[in-house]
Amino acid sequence: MHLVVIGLVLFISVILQATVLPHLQIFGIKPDLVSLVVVAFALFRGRYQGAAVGISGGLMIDFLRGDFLGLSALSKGIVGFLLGTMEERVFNDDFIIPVVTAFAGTLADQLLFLILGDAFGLDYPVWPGIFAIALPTALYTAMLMPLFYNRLYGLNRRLIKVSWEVRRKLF
Amino acid sequence: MSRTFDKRRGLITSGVVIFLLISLVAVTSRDRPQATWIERMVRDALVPLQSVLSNTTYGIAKNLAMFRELGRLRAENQALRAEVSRLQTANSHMEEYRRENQRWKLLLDFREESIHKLLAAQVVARDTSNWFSTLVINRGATDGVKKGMPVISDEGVVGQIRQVNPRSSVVLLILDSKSAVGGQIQESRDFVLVEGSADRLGNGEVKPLGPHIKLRKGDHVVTSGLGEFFPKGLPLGRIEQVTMGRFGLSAKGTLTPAVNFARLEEVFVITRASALLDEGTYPAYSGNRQPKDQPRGKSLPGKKSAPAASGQTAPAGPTPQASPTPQAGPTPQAGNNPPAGQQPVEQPAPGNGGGNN
Repeated sequence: MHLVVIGLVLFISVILQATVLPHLQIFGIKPDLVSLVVVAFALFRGRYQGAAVGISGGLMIDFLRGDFLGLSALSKGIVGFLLGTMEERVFNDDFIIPVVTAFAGTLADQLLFLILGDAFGLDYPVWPGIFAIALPTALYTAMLMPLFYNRLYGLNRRLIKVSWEVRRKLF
Repeated sequence: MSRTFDKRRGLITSGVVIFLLISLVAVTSRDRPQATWIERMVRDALVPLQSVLSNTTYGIAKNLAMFRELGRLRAENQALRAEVSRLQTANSHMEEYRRENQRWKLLLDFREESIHKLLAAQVVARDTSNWFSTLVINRGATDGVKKGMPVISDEGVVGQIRQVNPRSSVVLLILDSKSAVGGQIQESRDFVLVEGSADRLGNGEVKPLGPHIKLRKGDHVVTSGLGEFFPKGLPLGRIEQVTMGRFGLSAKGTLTPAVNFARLEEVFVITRASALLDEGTYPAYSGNRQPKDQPRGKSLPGKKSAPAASGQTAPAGPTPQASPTPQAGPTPQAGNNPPAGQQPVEQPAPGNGGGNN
């Protein structure tokens, strides 16, 4: 159940990323909705599930692109894992920290993509990569976090509640 | 004990996953002739959904833009009326130039080039990240699309087919940092290289292919036809800015593309550029084949549209500064103007890109 719902959320994010978000570009930059979902679920569910969400979302993106399959999965998986370690230290219903975490998480994801990509022949110029893409993307994505965080938080709580009820009925 | 075991299991799992992902990236980062069947299947399966979402978004964006622009449209209408009157006069001059151009081509003994065969396609998705400039179209191998085919719009060059799936294809835009297209300055006939830019401002870079070549602001750049894939004379854009290198020895131009990529909804894949395929390459046109009484750099009849240089009789493809209205050839659908002189055009498939017409 959790797997299906989170998978569906990721799938919708990827599709919106490819179809709707290009229309919301500011100076050629669109937000990274998938990173936002990864950051949120990493904070809710810890490092292993954070990594799993990151890898799944990244793989969906990679599949659509066709080049460097697994690169987004690696970068988002690592970010999901690292942010997941903060699970117990972050109050999930706080507002500021998720925004800051979204900025840091997306920035880390973009930088990892640039660095790891370079090892596999992405050959993207470093400074334009950081200042024209990574930083603006992180900023734009973080700004959107308040719009989505409460919804994702509510969804996560509902999922946990449903699974508790199912367990209670079964045992 | 169990905690140590869990920790070890976690480490092993993480190691295996990271190893698998790195191997996957290593394999797929190379230039592959074809995507795997899973990739092709997934991408094709998503095309209908992406198509619906794209159409809806375009519709909403258009309606919003319409309301925003009502006030401006009134003033623009008046300006356009004046412009129409001016253009009508200019058009008659152009007709004269066209006829003169035809005579010159006969004189220069250029072979009559048959027109490009175009396949209309709908843009269904764009790249999910900001690192690449690609888009997905709803035409694929079943429609005859092949890797490397040029993709254009009624405004100019869009890019090149990068990956082909059965019913969809990935197009690498000329704005992508990995893109490089051979170009030619329309005014001076000098050869340049047009590359994508690493910034996300929607510009390209123009690099002269030779130390003597001078770039000027406002110069129009078209495809040179010397490369493997792009036919000659398709508009790439206009040089917006020229910057000199550190020691003043090299210059680089900033290209404003002819195509408005943000509003790109439909494109055309050149499935057959006959002269290109027949001869392997276009006859080199140095720009020196001008009559002695025609000073170099002055407006040469037929120069504006580069296919004239390769012997094309029909008014050549899209020109950067000209209206996109076609001068010949059927329109694939209402409001969708194919590049002039480039026909026949196959109709865009509704939604998921069904069969050819």
